[in-house]
Amino acid sequence: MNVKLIMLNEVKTMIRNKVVIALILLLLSLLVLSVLSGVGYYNSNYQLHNEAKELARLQWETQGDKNPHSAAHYGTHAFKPITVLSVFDPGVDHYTGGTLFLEAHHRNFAAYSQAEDTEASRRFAELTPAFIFAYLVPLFIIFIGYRSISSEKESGMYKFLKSQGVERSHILFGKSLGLWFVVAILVLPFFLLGLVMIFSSTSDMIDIIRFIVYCIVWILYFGIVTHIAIIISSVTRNSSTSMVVLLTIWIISTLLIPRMITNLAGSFYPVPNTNEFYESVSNDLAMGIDGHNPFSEFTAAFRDSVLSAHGVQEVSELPFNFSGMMLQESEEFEKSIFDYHFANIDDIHQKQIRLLSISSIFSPTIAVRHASMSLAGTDMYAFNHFLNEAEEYRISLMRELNMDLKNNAVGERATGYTAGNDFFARNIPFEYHRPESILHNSEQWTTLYIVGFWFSLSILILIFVSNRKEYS
Amino acid sequence: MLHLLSFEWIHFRKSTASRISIVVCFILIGIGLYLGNEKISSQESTIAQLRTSEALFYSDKFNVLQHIEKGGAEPEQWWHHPANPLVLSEIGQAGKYVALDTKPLASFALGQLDIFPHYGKVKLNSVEMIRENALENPFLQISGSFDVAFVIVWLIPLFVIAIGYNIISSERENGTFRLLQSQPITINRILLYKLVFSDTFIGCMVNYIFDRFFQH
Repeated sequence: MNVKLIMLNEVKTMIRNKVVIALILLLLSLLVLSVLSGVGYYNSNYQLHNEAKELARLQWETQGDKNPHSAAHYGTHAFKPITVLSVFDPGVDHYTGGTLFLEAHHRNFAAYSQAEDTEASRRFAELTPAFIFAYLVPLFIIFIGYRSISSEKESGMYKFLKSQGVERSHILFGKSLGLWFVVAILVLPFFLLGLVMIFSSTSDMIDIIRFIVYCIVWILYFGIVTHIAIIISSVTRNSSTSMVVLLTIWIISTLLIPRMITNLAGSFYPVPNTNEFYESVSNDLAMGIDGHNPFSEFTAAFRDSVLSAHGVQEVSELPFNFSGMMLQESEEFEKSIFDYHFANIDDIHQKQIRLLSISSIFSPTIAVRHASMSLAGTDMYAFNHFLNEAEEYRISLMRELNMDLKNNAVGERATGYTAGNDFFARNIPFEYHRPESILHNSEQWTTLYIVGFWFSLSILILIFVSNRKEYS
Repeated sequence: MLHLLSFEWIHFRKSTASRISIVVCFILIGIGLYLGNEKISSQESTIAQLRTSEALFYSDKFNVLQHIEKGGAEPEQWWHHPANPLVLSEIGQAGKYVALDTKPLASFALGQLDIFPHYGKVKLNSVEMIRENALENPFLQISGSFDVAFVIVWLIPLFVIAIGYNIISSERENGTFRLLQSQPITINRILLYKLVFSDTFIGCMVNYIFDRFFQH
């Protein structure tokens, strides 16, 4: 009962405060603005993506008469589709390339990231809902909450309340519920708006569930900040100390730790430089079959084994085209080498991210940003999933081309064999789909658990503080 | 004036907030310098490594050529023959590296170093900028780097605020403001000395830290 009264009182005082209303309106308009710019970006990118995809396919299908393996060398492109939820958190999208060149014998890096075209200041502040939620809303909570307990003490109201039989825990919980309520007034209209937007733009049920989880994660984060604000306000001597302490916590959690840990992670687990990487790849490639070098010992050994298996003396006596077979054999060998080296890089990335996850014990902001990106499908795992799918596509396309060469370039057609548009039009197209689950690996779930852990920890501390004896 | 400054100094020494700020500032700048340095030295070692591998490639070809001129056997395949211009400019590892050498102050402000390529390879018919960042973890790129520029731009102002926010108001809260007003010296002058003190102090501190760094 007391809790409810205190909460209502808190909300009423907040709503009557013009500064609070002005801040709520300011943040809401920033949020709406960020979504509008996000939607604009999404629409233009979506259109560009579709155009590029169609163009790449058209070029592939109408490339004219060609040896299938030449076509493999000319290659084609895979483009990473943009998710609807990236409007709410673009995540690493700007830092990863969205275009992947697929060609024979070689796995490429994704190219053309947006970050290459933008300047350094963008790194700190990008007007996206995720940025506003992670950095500005906590500031807002600190601003409306830093004096919620200490001002009562300063005005003498606190003693008055206690003499009326109100317990400390009632005041603390009532106040924090009141703060939550004010924050909810700010974010709930926005979340509803977002839900309507997603409903109208996609029929995918899973995206709606993801968005709801996204909202819950952020609301939990605001709860964590609210609890911390109330705790600090009740344990500090006066409002200005409370303000300084809360701002210090904000700086440490949002600015200091994320930057410091990412840099430390980069120097503890360094990725090899690109040149080194390619050198070790090409050293390994030299240890196996090379489809374009008939003189290498591995190629000769492979040819001899094929010849003896078919019981013939010459390559021309085989019932199929030998170079098609050899190209496919070397393609698969090369893929295994690339897979091995890229898996090593992935391993380093995993270690770096694990260090970040551990550090989110000191900063809930890291955990919540991870979680929100994973839900929006814009984190590193989503990107890696796309890369792996594209790589799988590359190898199956190469297999189709090489098998065509192997099966059809025989007899009289063996020299100067070409495939035509009808064949290329029949080749499999690349369609990328995000996995059909809310989150697709345990690392992503861990970030959600960490947010939950922080939330329960903040409640526990609140209970602990409210049960502690006061001497005043 | 010195009298006032000495009081300020005593005041400063006694306050826990300022002592903590100084220690934390030192630590932060130290970390910034360390991380910036780390990044720049890895860039330098990459460039040095490229130069040696390039030198090795060409000295190898040169040795083969001398061997042939002295009457040695020529390589069987044309793509191994050092007299062929294509072998020296296009095929395999041939080509010259071009690199953006590090600038003396680069470790203080890394900027976009992790985004843009800082070396490339020039071949007969192509110039490829090598995407050094391609293997980098994109999640690490979002937050930007923790270097001295970051500490100076984002963190030191906050410490300055933490030390100086109550420069007059604390006098008022402690009740010493009236006392100051009754002194023969004006409030503006006292304020000026307070500012002179804190500015010199912060200036000296930053200077000291950078001096320490440059001695190494």
